[in-house]
Amino acid sequence: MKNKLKLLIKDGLRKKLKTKTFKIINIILLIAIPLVINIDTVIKTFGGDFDDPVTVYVIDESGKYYESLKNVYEQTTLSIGNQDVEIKNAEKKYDELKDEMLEEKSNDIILRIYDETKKADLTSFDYVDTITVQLLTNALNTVKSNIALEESDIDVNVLNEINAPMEISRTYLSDELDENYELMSYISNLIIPVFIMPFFFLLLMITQMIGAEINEEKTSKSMEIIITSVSPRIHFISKMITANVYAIVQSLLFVAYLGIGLFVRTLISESSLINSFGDNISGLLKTFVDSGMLTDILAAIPWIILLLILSFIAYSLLAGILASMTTSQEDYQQLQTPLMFLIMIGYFVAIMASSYEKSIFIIVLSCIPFLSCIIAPVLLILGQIGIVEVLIALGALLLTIFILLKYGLRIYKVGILNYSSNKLWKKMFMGIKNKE
Amino acid sequence: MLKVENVTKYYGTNKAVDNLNFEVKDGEIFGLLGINGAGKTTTFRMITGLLDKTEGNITFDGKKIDYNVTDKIGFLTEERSLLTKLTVIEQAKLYGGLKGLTETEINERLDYLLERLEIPEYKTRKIKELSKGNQQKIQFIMAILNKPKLLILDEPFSGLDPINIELFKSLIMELKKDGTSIIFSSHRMDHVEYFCDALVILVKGRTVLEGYLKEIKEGFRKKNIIIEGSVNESELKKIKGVLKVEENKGVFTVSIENNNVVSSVFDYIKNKKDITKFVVEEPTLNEIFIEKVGESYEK
Repeated sequence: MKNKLKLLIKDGLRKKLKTKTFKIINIILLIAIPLVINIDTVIKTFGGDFDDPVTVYVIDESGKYYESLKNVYEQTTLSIGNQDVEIKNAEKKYDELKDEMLEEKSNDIILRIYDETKKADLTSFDYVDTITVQLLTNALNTVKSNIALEESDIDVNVLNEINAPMEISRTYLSDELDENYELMSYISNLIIPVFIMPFFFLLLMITQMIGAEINEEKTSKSMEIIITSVSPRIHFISKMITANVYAIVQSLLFVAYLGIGLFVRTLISESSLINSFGDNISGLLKTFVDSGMLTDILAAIPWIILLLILSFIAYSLLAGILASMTTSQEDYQQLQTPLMFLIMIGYFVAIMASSYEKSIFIIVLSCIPFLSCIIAPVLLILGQIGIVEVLIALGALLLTIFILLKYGLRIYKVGILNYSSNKLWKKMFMGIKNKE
Repeated sequence: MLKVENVTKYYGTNKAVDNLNFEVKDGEIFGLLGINGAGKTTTFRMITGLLDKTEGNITFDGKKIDYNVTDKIGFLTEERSLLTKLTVIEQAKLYGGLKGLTETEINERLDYLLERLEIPEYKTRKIKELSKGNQQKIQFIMAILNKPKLLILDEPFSGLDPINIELFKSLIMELKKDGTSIIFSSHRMDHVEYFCDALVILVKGRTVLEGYLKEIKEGFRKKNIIIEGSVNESELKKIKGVLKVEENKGVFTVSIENNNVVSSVFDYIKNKKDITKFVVEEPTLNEIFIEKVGESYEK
């Protein structure tokens, strides 16, 4: 029987992985994911007005602003990666520059700074993007403040005192809390929808796949031949393993495509956006480690994995049982709707968990089978539940799996040989009662 | 040898098979007949272990049928039971593997059978691309891939032309010769007559007729007399014991109650001058079937 189980798994995987659909979808993903990750490079490759460098001609009537303004602006743009704007001292008069810009319909800018009135004006032929205007305004204000402070002849120490930011220290009455953890909780709230998305899709993929496979074998009557050689239990287990392995393979491929996309990005793009992205990630990781949150997450990972594996098994069992009761693909599409709802409820509740901290309702939902795999990991990471609640969720899942195996397989055995929807529920109920 | 003893199957309160008994010896072809809904499919499913019987015993070579025994069983279902997205070789690897064959055995046997059925070029073709008749050939190949000790054939000639039916027949007779016990079910009584040594006719799960074909025919009292020549149909009908007279292109088929009526009919025609044929025939299985089942046979 072990060999037959292996054969069924091998055959199931071969059928899935060798199909043209699988190959085409993965070729598309292999191209599309790196493209999406490098979409800015792609857009720039094709060019357009946005790609033309902009020169800001500064007419500094005061003679005090230009150098400082250029430095401040360049420092700022260096850190955020917006380096397509060049600051230049105007060598021509305002009217000459204006005429040239009119003639050429140029996208350059003239920044005229007046001294006495502390005023400046920007002249351009066309609209200027708001980021550039905002950056120029900020740089001008910074330079203006610096000049004002210098001209006031204030002592350096006093100047530093003025510029020094206010230090705010936090006090938590509970000894267990940490300031960094609060920050990370905030960040976690932002990344949770992204974090649980793969589980959401994996569950959808598994339930769809098992249903489609069983339904196909049933409607083609090949089930009758297969079941004469292997028991329904072995057949069912093989479907479950195949679907889960397939889902894992597809997920790993997805991650690989993401990796390729990021690798390509680092290769082809030397823009500071990437560097700053890398710096940001490093900074985030450091805060993560310092906050102790990473330690908490690492400790939770085995429980999360266990919860996911058991949930995938439970979902597979339920999908298989439902599929066995159907007589056509259309039937299964209808019957799997409640399953889809379960998965979606779990997803939305998990997203809402950060807004309703320690909600008793959400904590209770996190212990309920079929929902726990999505909600519990999120609550665990957010620190809203502990290991005890996860153990309760695991216990409930194990009990569900036991019930599904004991009674669901009886329905499966009856269902796979039933080709009529007439008195379906009665037949299923009779199946549950049949102990053989 | 397959032994079905006192087998009864209930679906809820509905009795699908009622106290069925028969045995199929090695190298014997056994007909399991009945109109749709008579309990044939349920019986096949119980034999192959797909369904549990409510009462009785089914054994093959003295052993209860389980997943060790089913490896020796071949089953050709009435409807297509192929995964049509697969190629012929992929399908063979799945079904053959499930019957415990190695890849080499599957390849060798598949090549042989494809050759015998004159379709060796279809080995790597997708099943869905094949015609109905060729799909039936593939289905038959899958059923006998494991050289079964027990073979169940439910409407094996469905969708086949006469030439391909002959190819099937020769393979079935080859299996019989090799000692395979075969259960045969068909709505074509001429095929049943050609193949079957013994048979059972089921009506609503109950056995209405069973035994060896020869004995059944001998025991069936009604006979037919074939007369060729100028006779009067209404005069024939007046003879005591004549049940029915049918004429087709100058040939009269006279159904009689029993052998005793033969002499009366002979007395009537002996003075006729242009009689070229007078033959007393056994009834056909089709007639026996209609008589026993009590309604016309569905094709």
